Amino acid sequence: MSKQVIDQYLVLLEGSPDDSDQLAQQISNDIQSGSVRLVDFVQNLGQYLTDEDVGIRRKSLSCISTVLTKLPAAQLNSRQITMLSTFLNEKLDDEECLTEASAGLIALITMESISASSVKDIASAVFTKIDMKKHPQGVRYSVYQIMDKLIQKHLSTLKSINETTINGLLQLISGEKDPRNLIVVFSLLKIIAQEFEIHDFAEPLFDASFCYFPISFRPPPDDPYGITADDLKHKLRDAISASTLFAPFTFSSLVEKLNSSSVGVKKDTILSISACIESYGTVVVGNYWEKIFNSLKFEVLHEGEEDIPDMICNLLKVLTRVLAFGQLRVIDDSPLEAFLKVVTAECKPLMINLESRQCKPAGRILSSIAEASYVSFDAVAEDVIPPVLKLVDFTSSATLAQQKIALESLMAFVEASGNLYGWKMEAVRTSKRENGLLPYKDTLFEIFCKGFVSVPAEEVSFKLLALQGVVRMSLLHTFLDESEMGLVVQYLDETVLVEQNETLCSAALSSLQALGRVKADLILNIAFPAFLSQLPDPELGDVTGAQTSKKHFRVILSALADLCFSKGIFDILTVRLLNRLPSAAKFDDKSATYTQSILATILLVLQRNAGDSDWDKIFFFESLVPKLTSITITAALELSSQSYPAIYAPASVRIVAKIVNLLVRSVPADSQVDFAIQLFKLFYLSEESTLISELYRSQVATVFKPLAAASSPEGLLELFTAAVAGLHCEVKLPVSSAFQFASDLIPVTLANENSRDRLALLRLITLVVNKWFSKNDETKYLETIVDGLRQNLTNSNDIELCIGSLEQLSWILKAYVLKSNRQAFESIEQILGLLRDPDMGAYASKSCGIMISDDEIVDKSNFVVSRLLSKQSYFSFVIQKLVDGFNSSVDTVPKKNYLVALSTILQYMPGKIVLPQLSTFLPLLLQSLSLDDAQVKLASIDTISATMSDASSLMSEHLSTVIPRLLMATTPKPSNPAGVRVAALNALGIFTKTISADTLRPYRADIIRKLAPVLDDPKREVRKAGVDCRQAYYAMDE
Amino acid sequence: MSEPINANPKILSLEDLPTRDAEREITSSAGSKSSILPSSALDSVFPASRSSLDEVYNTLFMIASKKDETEDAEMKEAPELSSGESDSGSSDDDEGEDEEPIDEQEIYDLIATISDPEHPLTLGQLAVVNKPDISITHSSSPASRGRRQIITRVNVDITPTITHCSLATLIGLGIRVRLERCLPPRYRVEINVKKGTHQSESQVNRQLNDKERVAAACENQQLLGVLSGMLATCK
Amino acid sequence: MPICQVHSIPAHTDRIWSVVPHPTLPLLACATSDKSAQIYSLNTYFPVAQLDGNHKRSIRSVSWKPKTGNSSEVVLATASFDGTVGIWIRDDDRYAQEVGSSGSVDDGADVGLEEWEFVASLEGHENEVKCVDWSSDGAYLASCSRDKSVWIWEADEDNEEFECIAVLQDHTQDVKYVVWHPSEDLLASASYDDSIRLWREDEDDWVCSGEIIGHRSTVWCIDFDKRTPSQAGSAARLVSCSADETVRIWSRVSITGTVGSRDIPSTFRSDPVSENWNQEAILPKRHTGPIYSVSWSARSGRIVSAGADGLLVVYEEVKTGEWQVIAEEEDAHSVFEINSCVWSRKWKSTASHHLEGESQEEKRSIKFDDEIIITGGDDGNINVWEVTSK
Repeated sequence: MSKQVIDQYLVLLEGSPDDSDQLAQQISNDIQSGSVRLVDFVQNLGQYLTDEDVGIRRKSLSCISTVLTKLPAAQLNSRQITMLSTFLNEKLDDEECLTEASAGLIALITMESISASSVKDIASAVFTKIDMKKHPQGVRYSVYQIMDKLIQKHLSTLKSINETTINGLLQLISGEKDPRNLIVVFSLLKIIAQEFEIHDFAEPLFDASFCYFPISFRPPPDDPYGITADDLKHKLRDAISASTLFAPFTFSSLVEKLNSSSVGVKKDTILSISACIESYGTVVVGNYWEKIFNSLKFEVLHEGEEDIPDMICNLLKVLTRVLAFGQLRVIDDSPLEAFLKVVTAECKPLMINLESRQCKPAGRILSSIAEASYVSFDAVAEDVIPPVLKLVDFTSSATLAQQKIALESLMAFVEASGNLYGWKMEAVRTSKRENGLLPYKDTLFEIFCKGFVSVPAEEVSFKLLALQGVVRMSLLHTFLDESEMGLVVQYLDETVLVEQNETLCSAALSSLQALGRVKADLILNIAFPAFLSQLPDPELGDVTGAQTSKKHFRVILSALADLCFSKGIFDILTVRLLNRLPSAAKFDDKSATYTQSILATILLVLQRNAGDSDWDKIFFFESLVPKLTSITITAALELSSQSYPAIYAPASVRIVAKIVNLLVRSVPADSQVDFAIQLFKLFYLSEESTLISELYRSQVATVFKPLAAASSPEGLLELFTAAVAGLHCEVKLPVSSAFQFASDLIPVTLANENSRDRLALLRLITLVVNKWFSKNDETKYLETIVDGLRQNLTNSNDIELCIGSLEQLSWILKAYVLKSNRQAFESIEQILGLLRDPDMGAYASKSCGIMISDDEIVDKSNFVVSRLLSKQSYFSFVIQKLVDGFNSSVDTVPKKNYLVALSTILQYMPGKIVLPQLSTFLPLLLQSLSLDDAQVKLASIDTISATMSDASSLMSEHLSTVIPRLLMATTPKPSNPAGVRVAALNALGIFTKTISADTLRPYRADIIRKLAPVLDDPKREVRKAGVDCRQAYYAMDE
Repeated sequence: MSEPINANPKILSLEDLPTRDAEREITSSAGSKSSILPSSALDSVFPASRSSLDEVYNTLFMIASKKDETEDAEMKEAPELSSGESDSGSSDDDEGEDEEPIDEQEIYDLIATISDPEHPLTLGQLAVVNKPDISITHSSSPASRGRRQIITRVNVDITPTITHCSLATLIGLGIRVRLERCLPPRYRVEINVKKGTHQSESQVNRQLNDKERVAAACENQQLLGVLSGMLATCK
Repeated sequence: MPICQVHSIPAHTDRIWSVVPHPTLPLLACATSDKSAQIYSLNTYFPVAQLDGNHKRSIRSVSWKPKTGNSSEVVLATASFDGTVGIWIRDDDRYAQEVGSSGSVDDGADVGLEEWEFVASLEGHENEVKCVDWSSDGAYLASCSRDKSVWIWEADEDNEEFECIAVLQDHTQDVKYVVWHPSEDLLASASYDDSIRLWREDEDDWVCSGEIIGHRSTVWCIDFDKRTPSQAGSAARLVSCSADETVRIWSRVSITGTVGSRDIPSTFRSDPVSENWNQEAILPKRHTGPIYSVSWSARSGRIVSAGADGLLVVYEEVKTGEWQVIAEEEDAHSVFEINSCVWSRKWKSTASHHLEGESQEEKRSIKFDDEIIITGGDDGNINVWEVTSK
């Protein structure tokens, strides 16, 4: 091979490394193919390698190294390797070229046929020739790489020169500071400590790593190697804990570091100690536990900073586990025995001395030691539990606070036993052993029960603790038996039913849920009967439950609802509740509260689990919907001998309607088809429908004609609409045509005089138009029906008809607006025009709201078609017209109509739509603040508050007008109901957060003074708002 | 920070602090049940009170008002928006009818959330202020009878965490400032250290109730800084 | 006797600490918590001057320098929580032109405010100065502070150089109030230590010549009986009000080693200056809560008191030591506390001749109902009252 190639390489190395690399590859290929002999290659380099110009020397070396790295591991024979390594070894003292030489050596080290002697030579060369101090971290890194490779590939060989390696490495690494290098160094030290014969070198090796403890390292912002402080800490921990021979030094040195003032260092130390404990193992730790414990206990007993006490408790747990390793019982004279002796000797007296401040911490130490292993648990429990149990008797309330601490300690043991022996809710049983607290179960259980039952009511936190105690016990594996758990459930029932304190009640309730999840029959067999029995029994003339229960039935019912965490339980609940319905309805007072509460309970549970997939919706759909429909309608028709006014009271019907709607829409289309047919039979066609129980089916068919002009009974169409609303769009309505249906409904609606029925019909039409109309239908409907209604508005001078038509229009147009079908906008414009009309203006302003209002029935959840930008386009269509209309109209009435229209619309507009337009109508908003209409005011204030955060700058310009008007809105008068006053105060409060202090300061004093009267407001909520608002302004300048 | 004056105060757990709910619970169960319905989860689906039930209707948009069966009469709102006093939507708010006078609990709520100058705890938790130690007395002078604007006295006894607590005055001052900011001017606040809970009771009481001294103290910026820190946690 | 409100000046949005009428001119000075003092015309009740910009904290008290001899200067002293006493002088040339027009109510409104000059700041007290008072001959100015001391200052002719001639530190707590005797060189001070002390010059030293013990809490305010003719040694009377909810009258029963024997060098005098005061009466109890202010009328000899309870009470002496309440007004400042009440001469609102004030003859001829009561309260209002015979 020719020298040119070499020259070429040297040149390339300057300019384009890639090409030079290519070339190197080329060379190595030639060497492999044998077309170039290694010897020649090296010889050709010869002169360069010794050239006095560093640059050249370096380049030539890198040439060799690169070529070598590119050779397959099997290429060179041991002779060649020896030749090359000796050569490169020589080069190691050429400081300028160290990196290149190292690279070469690393390549050689990985060669298969490298001889042990070469390895040793390389090692000793590295140790003898290199003075790390002279080199930058990058270069040092390459050297460490050599050591790393050597140890990886040739551990045994190096072990044969044990002493050389250890000493060599020690002086090699001494003084290393670079994080990336340290990572390597620590792992080298670890391997040495683990693999080598370090008996005589334990101390220096330990110092070599420990001298870096504690590591305080903050990586530079642009750290190329992304090394974190934790990486270093872990590597260092591994090194320190690598060999049991370090033990004599480790613990003493680490323990000293505990005196550090820095919490960080303390934590690091604690973790390192427990790392060592775990890796050193039982025998070694056996000699040091005392030192460790004595130096750590203080931080726990005197409640050290942050979570240090917890960390230490964990450490003690580890320590115990290690000491207890493999012991089935505490062996006499074993370190474990001694350890437990010492700890209990120290902590037990504290734990049972309730006056002592260390009482609780001592308990913590003992419980965490117990938690570590079965042996320790048995031992500790046996020692401390009985005396603690003795401490608790609830005689004198003076010592109650102290006894609470005792209870807390016991609680800690309950938890510990749970973690050790397993909880009921754990899928797989963690432990085969039975719970170590079992021997003390009875007393323990008794104490907590007593503590819960017999302690005076005002000791809330105490009772709470006791309650948690019994509950946690019931959740322990193999602990409480059926009857005991039953007792617990009874206590909880009792609490929910009698206890007045909110915290306790909710705690009890959630506990019941927890227990129910592990043992459902507890709820079914104990809780349910208990609760149901507390419900009023109207048969005995007890409608309010005054006789039977201490708490209002609404509370009991909602508790029952809370316990329905499974379909099965709910199924049973509904059955039991519906059975009560007739008697409830029969005796219920005029307000029908009881009946309605029962229905509401069912609705509540359904709502809560609406999203839950493993609730079989179809089941409840098929069972509940017909049942409720039938009950309601038959009751309304008073078919049975009894009459149940409460069942078809407006509110009751509304709840049933909600239930029906919820269930209908929760089932898939195919299971709706037949339902739809039956539904229309019942309400539209007046035919026999399976929705009515056999008994009354034919009767109902004959008498029930809800859509007929003079329909009696009234108020049931809400049910119809709710059900239709729930239908999927693809379920075809069982009518000749949707268009026809929607058209036929118009006269019916106009004629209907019952507001609830009419509202139902209005919604029904909106639904049909929105969900079942084709594009053509829509257009046609506008041209015919809608046009007709508009005629009424203009031509008719029968005000009733006008109003009726306007109402009708508003709801129909709503359907179009939702689909943002712009064809409808012409009609909308006409309505806007009406705002000027002295007679119709007020109605028109409401109409503007209707067309965009969020409606519970006409809503996406009922598959209503609602375009993304529908609100947007409606708003941008009307807003300017409103503003102009307002400005152009002179007398107050129309002005007011515009304001009302605006504010009602704003109620339904998301901020992001309103914001861009804000500047256009803010002046109107401010005007409406001085109106005497509460709702308008409220709407405006809400808008102001809502837009504050985003439009603060804009608002700042208007402060001089906004603030006085808001202040005016804080004085009590009919047009400023509490709601308005609070809203105004909150708005003022928000200013302090969103508007710069400098802008606001001029108003500060005035606001604070003018708000003084608010502090005397008759309403508490208002005073509260006033106080907070003022405080916000006081705080501004402090 | 320097060694706290009282390093380990006794601390009440939050559950044990008096709350208005607790009060309401008791009264409501005592009082007739059907009249006032207790709040319950049912409210979400079925509003407890009749009036709020009607609001469900009020929020619905009905325009036409036709002669209607009484049942629904109250469920519609007069569309004549021009008539000023339309009690739109908030019929539950007839002033005076259900006036809620300032009571001890309200005073307690105002000051219990002030935080202690040296512990990250509230005066309530530290039992420095306790509800039983708050009393409100209305002026008895005959002329003032029947007027809402009568002068009312509020007495608050505070219990320092330790008998030599040098911060008692500061705490008292904090309470006074808080109350003077939060109570109407017709209220006269008197703050005293509870009998036998502080070695220099009388001096502290004297200072806390000397109008001139309090006023002067409140012009001391640095002191004001500390105070606003204590009041920052009030909610 | 009914008491009726004749006027109310919405002077301020914040607390008014003290109101003081000029002894001879139709001017009212008022100290407020916004670091400023205002001056109002008692003819028109319009503001005529705003003194601000020099005190860093609330002004607690103000005092007019009595006009002495022929000097036409109008001087006001202000005491502030910032620890200093301020001296202000009216720029008279400008005043002269304006009063011509400011005389009548109707055009009074558009009168520009007077120019006042801040001529001196008296520093020395360690903290809040709570009260200042000029002696009747204008020779001395007394000030007191929370630093428990009372200072006596002597002014030069043009009121710009003040020399502290005495620092009196016998009180053991804040000194709340100081007032000079109308004719004697006798100073009285009231304190948080529940006591009242009397001070006079003995040789060249000012010493405590007497101590009045009796109140059971802070003594907020005191005032001398200005009518009792006072030759050396004869009786003098003092009224005091306190946080103990009482108003008490004290009278001097004996005095030794003073005025009469001034000419004898003290070295020959056996007795040090000392005087004894006894409690002559406790006025009928009306107030509940601390009483902040009391004033003894030079004209009618009536006493008025007011305090935290917002009650305004007028007392009259039936016979020596026996007093009765002749009028009282509840909530005289609505629900707010009253910090200051003071008697003043009633001025006819149409009279520019009052420029040179009332002559000695006038003074004597004044009848009871020629006087008014002026009160200042936390509501920032200055209210004016008349006790009417009918």
